[in-house]
This record gives sequence, C-alpha cells and structure tokens, in this order.
Amino acid sequence: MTFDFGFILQVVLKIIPYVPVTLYMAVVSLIIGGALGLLVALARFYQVPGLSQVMTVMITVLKGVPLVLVFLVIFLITSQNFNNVAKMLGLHLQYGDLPMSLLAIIGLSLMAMVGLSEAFRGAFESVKLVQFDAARSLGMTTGQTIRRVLVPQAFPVAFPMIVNMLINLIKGTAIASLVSVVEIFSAATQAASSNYKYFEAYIAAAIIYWAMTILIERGAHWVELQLAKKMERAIS
Amino acid sequence: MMQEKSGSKKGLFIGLGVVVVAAAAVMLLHGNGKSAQSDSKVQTINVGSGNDGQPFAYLDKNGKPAGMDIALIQAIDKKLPQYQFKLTLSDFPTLITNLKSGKTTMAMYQIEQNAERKQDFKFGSVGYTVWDTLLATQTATGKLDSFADAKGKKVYVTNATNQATLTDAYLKDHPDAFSVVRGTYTTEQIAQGFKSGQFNVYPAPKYSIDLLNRQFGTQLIAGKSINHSNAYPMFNKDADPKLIAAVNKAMGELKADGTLKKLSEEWLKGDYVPEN
Repeated sequence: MTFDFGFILQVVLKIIPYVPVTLYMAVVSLIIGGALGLLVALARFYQVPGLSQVMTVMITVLKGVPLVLVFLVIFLITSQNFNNVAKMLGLHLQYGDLPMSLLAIIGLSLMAMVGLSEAFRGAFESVKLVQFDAARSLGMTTGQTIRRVLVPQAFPVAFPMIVNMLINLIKGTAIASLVSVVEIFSAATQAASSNYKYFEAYIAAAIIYWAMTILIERGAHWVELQLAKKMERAIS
Repeated sequence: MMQEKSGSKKGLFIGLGVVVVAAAAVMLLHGNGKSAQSDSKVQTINVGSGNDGQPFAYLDKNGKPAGMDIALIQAIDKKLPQYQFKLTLSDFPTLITNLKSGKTTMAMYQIEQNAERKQDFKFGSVGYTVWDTLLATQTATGKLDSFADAKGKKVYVTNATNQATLTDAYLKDHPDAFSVVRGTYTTEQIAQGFKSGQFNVYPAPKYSIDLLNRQFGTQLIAGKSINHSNAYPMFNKDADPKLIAAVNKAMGELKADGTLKKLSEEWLKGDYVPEN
C-alpha cells in the first residue's frame, strides 16, 4: 500500500486555519457549560427543593444520549422555529444568517454542563464538613460560604476534570459538520474527497489534535503546580 | 515435587500436541483450498461495498446486504463462473483503504472517477448510475443552469462529495460568486435547510433531488447539468486486467439486456442508467 507523506503535510497545512474555530467552539462551550454546570452542582449540593430534582432528571436525560443526537435535535428544532420566532420578535433575521458555530456551541455546552456538574459535585463533596461549620460560626451567609470556602477549595480538585472536559470538547467539535461548521476533521475529509487518500488525511487530522491536546496538557500541568503551591500555603 | 514436575511435563506434551494438530489442520485446510481452486479454476475476488448507504449498499432489517450496488455485484458474479465474489462491507473511507491495501480487489459503491483517483486506482469502463450534477432550487429562486447563475445565492454542499470539489473549483476562480454552507446533512436536514432559507441552491445529482422531492415534498427544480459523471466499479491498481475485462463485459451485457435498468427502477425508484 502506497503511503503519501507529502499529502499528509499538505492536509496539515490546509487544516491549520481551522484550529481557531475549533478552539473557539471548545473554549466558549467550556465557559458556558462550566457556569451552567456550577449552578446545577450547587442546586444539587444544597438540595434546593424542586430545582435539585429537575436538574437531576435533566442531567440523567442528557447524559443518556449521544452528542450526535443532541446536535441533530438542536438543528431540527432551531431550523424549524427560528424564522417564526424571529418574526414574532420583529427581528429581520433568517435562519441562514445565524452563525452555525452557535448551534455547535449549544450542543457542546450541554455536554460540558453534564460532565462538569458531576465533576463539581464530586469536588464539593471533597470539602470537609468542618469547613462549613467554621464558615457558619463566622456568620457567613450561604453565598459567602460558596464564594469563599466551597469554590476555592473545590476548584483545585475539579481542575483536572475541567481540563479533561476541554480536551473532550475539542474532540467533540469533530462532529460539528453535522450542523454545517467546517472544522479540522471535516476540512481533512474534504481534502481527501477527490483523491481518496483518507488514511493520510486522518493522520494529518490526528497530528493536529495531538498537538493541541499536548499543549493543553502541558499548560494544565503548569497551572496545577501553581494551584498546589497555593493550597500548600493555605494549609501551612 | 516429583509429582508436580511430571504434571507440568504432561501439560507441555498436551500443549505441543494441540499445536501440532492445529498446524496440521491449517496445512490440510490450506492445501484443500488450493486444490479446490486449481481444480475448478474458480478464483475468489473480495469485493468492497457500503454498509449504511441506503438504497445503494446497506444491511437490511435481517442484517443481510441489500441495495442497488449489492444487487449489481451479485448479478455480475452470476455472469462470471470463473470468479466467486466475496463481499466486504464497510463505511466509505474504510472501503477505500481496503481497496488500496489489496484487502479487496474491487469496490462498487457509486464511485465516480476523476484524474486524481485514476492515479491510485483502476476503473471499469461501463458506468451504471448517472451522477451528473444539477443545481437544485425552489421555484421561487428559479431554474439555474450553471454556477454563474447562482451568483449572490447561498449554496449548500455536503462535505467530501464530488459536488463539494466542483464548487471549490468554481470558487477558486470566482471567489465571491456565492456563499457556501458546508456540512454533512441528512436528507431531512437538507429539506429543512431549504424551508428555513438557510440556503437556496443545492448542487446534487438528479437521484438525490428526486429523493428529496419524493420524501419531503420539497418541489425542487433543476436546470441543465453542470458536469457529467457516472458511477463505475473501481479496482485495486494491481487488479488482474482479465478480471476488469470480464466485469466490463458482464456489465455491458447487463446494460444491454435491461437488467441494469430494472435494478435501478427497483432500488432507486427511477431509471438512472447512463446512456453511454
């Protein structure tokens, strides 16, 4: 079987311009999903009546479906209703005017929310009960306890899982072509479509994904060291 | 201790025995296969096709291969007593990789030919499905006969298709001719995209346009074809020219006697057999 190294390089160069859109979708989804996940985790941790149960059901439902399905459902719902809703709101917008990366971000944010809410919940559980008693004895409100006691101590515990989620999101963007976003993976398959050198194109895509993942892991390792230093200082 | 040692020796002998018997069986079977081949001169050819491309090649509800390409492969096989076709079904990129590596010798999955592909593969000479590209639009947009007519419009192309390559080639010379939505939409998503105004032009073969109209009532229209292309059987570069000649002959006969047309009507719900 012949193997075209030159073509791998060609494809790598062709897909590098799609790195920003991939990172943009992953990072924005991580931020939105992280914020939502934090809210969900807090609601469940403090067992807010009603809300906690609703969140539990929602997380269970979302956890049980593959991302592909989430993407398709989002596409069908938005494409069928957007024009009518826009008209009702008096907006002069058509479905086609929407940047499609927005749909991918909605889907990926949901995925991040599910994953991170569980990560946060686990991290919250790791904070010792004594800490809450101490906070209460100082007269802190629940809000203050969350901001000054719970989150600062839970964050370093959740951090590796947050980084892991970012990497998963980057890989998750590979199916964004389902909602017509051109990213690294679809650019690579497109490059191979006329000469059928799929194998080479896939390797090129893998090289880019590897490079991104390695850089993120290195960066995360550095941040983790800093966090550990800070924690040490807090304890001693 | 002695007991244990003899026990392990016994185990070793049993192990060796199993290996010898297995080796003998493999050699015997291998020899058998060879002698059967040389006796009747039937050569087994591994043929690749798809497993989820309804109605071309897919697994039906009983898990059996079905579809236009599968039926055609079987019809060709029937005409060639000197060969026995063995199906290997997979997704498209795997199909290509298998063919390239020699795991399969021939592939049929509505494959179109172009100069680049001809560098790595051989092709049969009898086309079996028309894949001329037309520009599908809604009546409100009007009939388009060329990419030039699509100026200022929004075009949807499916990634990694011939239509995407054609569109890219046109945009290279006319960068601002029209905007493009690129994706891997399902038929339903394409119908929905038209309805929602996400795009208003869809370069596609007649078969796909008919399918959209039939399944989703999109009432799309199309002008003249903007390129000419057919589906052909594709072969590994080292495939025996005798095999290719035999397949060409068989397909020529199937086309002449109307079998091809019948298969097209049965599976594709219309006559999409190329005239030449």
